Amino acid sequence: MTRHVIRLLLVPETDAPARARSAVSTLVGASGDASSVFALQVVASELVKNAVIYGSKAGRIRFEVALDGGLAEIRVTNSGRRIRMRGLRTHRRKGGRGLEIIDALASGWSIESGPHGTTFCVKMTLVDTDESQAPGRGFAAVETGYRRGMSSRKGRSVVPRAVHENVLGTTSG
Amino acid sequence: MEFRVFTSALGNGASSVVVGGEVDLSTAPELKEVLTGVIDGGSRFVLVDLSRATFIDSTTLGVLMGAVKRVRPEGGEIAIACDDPNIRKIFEITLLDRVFSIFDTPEEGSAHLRRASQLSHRGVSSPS
Repeated sequence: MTRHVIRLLLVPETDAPARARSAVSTLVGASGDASSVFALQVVASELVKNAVIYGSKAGRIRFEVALDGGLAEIRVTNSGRRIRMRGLRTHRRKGGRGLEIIDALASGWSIESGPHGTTFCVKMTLVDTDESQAPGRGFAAVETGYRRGMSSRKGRSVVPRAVHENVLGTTSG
Repeated sequence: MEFRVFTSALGNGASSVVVGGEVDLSTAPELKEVLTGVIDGGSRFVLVDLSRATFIDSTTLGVLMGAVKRVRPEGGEIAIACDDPNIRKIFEITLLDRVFSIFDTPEEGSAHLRRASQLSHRGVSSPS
């Protein structure tokens, strides 16, 4: 099975989310359908944005996006204080919608937070190009129950189709 | 596409804020500044035209909600023009499509806000 990975080391500044989106586009853009690329970019952007806002300003953000068959995984690690789940819930009540968006688009996500930093890991199932041509299709809400009646079919094949682990590059920015 | 934002008057006291490119952590402050300027200038009915926007995130939604909170107490409205299904989906999954009237074209949004503004000047509530 193919595993393509891009890893970035990002400075926690306001342009970091755009750099993460660009990495997603590089990895998936050439052969991915527009909806899947957009969904991955949104998730990448939200995760990196949170790392910029809530992580240590002195540290760096580790961003990784990987594609393996029909599965995409985005992992974002920042240094800084431990995140508490109660804090996340409070943030959502106050109107923060980033996690709500991630929750809707992801097939699963997890947080590991310790005294020295936090890692968010989001898994997404991509749909193939044929299915995603129709409006309103293409985001993989496979196991999360997308609220507005989207298809909940399992994704099938996805780009890229090559089959070996391939680290495309690590960039320091 | 590079981020761009500019404003125009729609008539009847309504305004349009046209956004192009990607709106995110880096560019949302500029959108906020422009929207704040339009509202401070007296417009209570504002169309945010996202027809040329290629990306929005939760920061964008926060800016738009901030504008809603300013105009609603005075009977105003923020409407959205956008036909990109990916961007519209961001409004849908956050249920903000229930907060904003979303139109496929700027022309439809402008017509809606001109009517709403006119009704407001006559002291009639707008059916949104």
